[in-house]
Amino acid sequence: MTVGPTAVRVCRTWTLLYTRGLPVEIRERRRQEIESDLWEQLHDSNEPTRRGVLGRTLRGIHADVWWRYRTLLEQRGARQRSHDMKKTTGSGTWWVPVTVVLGVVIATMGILGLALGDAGEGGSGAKVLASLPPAIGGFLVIGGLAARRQRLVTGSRLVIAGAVLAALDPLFIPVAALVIIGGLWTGNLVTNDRDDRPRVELPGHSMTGGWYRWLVAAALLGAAGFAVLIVWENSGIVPDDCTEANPCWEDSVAWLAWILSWLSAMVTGGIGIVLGVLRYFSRHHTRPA
Amino acid sequence: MRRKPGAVLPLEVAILSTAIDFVASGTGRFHGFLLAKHLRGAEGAKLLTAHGTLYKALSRMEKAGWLVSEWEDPEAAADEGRPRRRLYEMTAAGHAALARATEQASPAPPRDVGWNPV
Repeated sequence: MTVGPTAVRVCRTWTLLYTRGLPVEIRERRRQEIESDLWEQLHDSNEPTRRGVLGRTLRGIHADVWWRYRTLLEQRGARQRSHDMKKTTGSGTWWVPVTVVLGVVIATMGILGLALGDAGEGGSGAKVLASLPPAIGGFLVIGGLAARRQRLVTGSRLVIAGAVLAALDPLFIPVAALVIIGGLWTGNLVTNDRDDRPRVELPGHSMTGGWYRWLVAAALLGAAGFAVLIVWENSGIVPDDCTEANPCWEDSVAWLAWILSWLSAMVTGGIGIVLGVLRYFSRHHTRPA
Repeated sequence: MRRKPGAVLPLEVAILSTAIDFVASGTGRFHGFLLAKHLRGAEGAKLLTAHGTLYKALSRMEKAGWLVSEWEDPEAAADEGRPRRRLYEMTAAGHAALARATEQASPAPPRDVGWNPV
């Protein structure tokens, strides 16, 4: 075998990883098919290149992840849930990776903050205290994602709660906003579709249209972002003695938070409105067959 | 992007077309790597189709009833000292799907609006 063992090992390891936890029949079939494919490629005189094997593995990662996700959905027998998700979410392909990244990043930053806070410097422990929400939020996001596989609504609520906690740090507001929008949408939390139980009601309106969910989610996020800013401004984090002549870093952070928050509100609101309009027109103005 | 019901994706069209070529050449049944090689040749591409993309498409097409598959005889594989191959074969539903996709892709024939010399 002339192909580097690393490329083959990467391929095998990745296959073991993404098929892990799937029903035996499906898991073994995929693993054996990949094993057979690898063998054929390695023994084909025109093909055995290290980059070829590695490239085929890497280029197919997104498809593998999506295949696993779909397989799990089908295997859990959640036909109705799957139907609802397809109907209301457009599948949420973007949302899961964004949420995984957010969960891991904020949990890591929170833990680092707890571990390396200012307690050891004789400080007040404020940095350690400030690291608690991201740490808890990160674990809530990750736990919620895992829980969604069994309990869609409960898991989605956990994810959203975690993202809200993470958004207490203004740096996380833009990503947290996306996670919250996706959580509301893919978790069927802002809809009448699930078991005919209304989640959010507006007087005189039926909330069955997809565009409505986006607009409501964007509005809620705007309000939440604004509330975070008010708290930030009044929390005493920014010292009173910061002036133009004598600026201090807390002042700069506050301005950065303002800019990021408004940017986040505009981006999420913009996404909500654009997607809402697009979904509205795609649903109500489809061409006749 | 959401997929329209009954729509056949370009990769699926390519797989079904290649399956027809296999039948025409007497191969009939094919395995994943063989398919990847032929797809690359047919499309003039430099790279083989990625594992994930290829097997996800095959799995989806099998569920749609366009392909059927089974493991080859373990003894045949053991004789050649290689892992078993999963062999795929196109079904009548696959032929119909390909015909439908081809029909949708080709422009509509001009309407008969006037004099016909025949």
